[in-house]
Amino acid sequence: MALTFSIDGYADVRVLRPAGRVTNDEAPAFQAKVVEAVEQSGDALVVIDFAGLDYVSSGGLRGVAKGARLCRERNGQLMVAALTSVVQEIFAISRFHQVVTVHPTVTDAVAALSADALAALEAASK
Amino acid sequence: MTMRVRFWGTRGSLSAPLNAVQVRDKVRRALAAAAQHGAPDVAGIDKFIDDHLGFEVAGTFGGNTSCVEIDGVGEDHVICDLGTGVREFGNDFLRQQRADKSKTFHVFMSHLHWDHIMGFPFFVPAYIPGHRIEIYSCHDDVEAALRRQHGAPSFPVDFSQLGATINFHKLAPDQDHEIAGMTVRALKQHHEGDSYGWRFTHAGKVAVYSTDSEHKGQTEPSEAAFAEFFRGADLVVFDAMYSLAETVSLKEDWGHSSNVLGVELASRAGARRLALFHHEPNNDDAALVGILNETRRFEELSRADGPPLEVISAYDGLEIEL
Repeated sequence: MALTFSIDGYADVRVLRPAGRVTNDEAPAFQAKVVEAVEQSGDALVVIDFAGLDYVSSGGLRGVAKGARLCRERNGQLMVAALTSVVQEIFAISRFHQVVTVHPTVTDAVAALSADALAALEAASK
Repeated sequence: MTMRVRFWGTRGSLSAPLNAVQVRDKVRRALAAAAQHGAPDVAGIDKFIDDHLGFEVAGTFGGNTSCVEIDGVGEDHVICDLGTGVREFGNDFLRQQRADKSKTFHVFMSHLHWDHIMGFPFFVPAYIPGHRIEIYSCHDDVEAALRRQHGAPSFPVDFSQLGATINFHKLAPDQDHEIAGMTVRALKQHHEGDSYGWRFTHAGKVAVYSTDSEHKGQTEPSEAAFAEFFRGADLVVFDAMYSLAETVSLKEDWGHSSNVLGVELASRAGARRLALFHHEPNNDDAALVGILNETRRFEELSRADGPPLEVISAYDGLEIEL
């Protein structure tokens, strides 16, 4: 399945929703989208929703790390949420919990970043 | 003859011997297993160990720094690097005095950082006239590095007092060299001061020794050269010192790689077996067994249509027939 993306805005937070598998071949496209989400968020507050990802390679994880670094440099933060079981295993094996904060759900991640964004997310969900 | 690889030193950066507390913990866990499963009689001890004790209890990865032997090719001895493991290699040579082996040693250097040369002053064959040591490197300053550590104020015996005949050879990377009955090729690696991997080919078998090498990800153009260097290898000895997370954060540009990159790169190259190597000295045996199990799981998760990659973790004393 080809890798697809969407970026949704909730107040000052951008939520990147990739779907498919981030192999090393797909990693450059994935990293470009992570950077795009950071650029779109004025306060550099980004959540990556992993619910649609069956697999992530080292190249994909490097994209996550790059996004996290970009956000930190702008006094923002990148978080990830809703890891599928395989991706959870890969995060554990690669110790990537040490690189980014992982939340069980996108709502949890957005709530941790911005009250305004949480309100916007809840309004959009109604 | 069949190519065999023996690991005399597998630890990264610094030797890391077990201490009394760690040994006691292994004994305690072994006795706990005996209490749980029923203590064996004397004749059944080995079977009990095999059946009930993991490697983290019954064995150890060891604490010597890098030294790997390539055997089974010809009458000369071939080793990679002169870490503290070379002391045991030298002692084993003197004990065995194998009739089918010569007194000539071919040494291939990855680079000159301390952990890769520090064993040489304790390599006893170097003190004995009649032995010949041929040292190959892609660096210019191997002799200077060995002489510097082999004399005052670091060591009581000066390099000039060594009895063996010692020759130094600078080799060009990216081309084949015929040495000790093998085709040998070097590849420059990303490491402070540069390091070089070595690919050894003999009678259709290929062993790659690639340590102290940081990989920046499969999308980097330089990685294609590594995939070619590892292509079809029967064994890739790979620097898996850190986690992937460490290599992209705190320890980025420290010159080492991860188990995850090892699996991806060896799989891409169609290698048959990956040996995790250059173990972080802070990782104890239980941690290293855990990393091995996780690496095997990652290989399952990441495997595409190709054949499976066998993943092992090198330990001092391991011998592999290719």
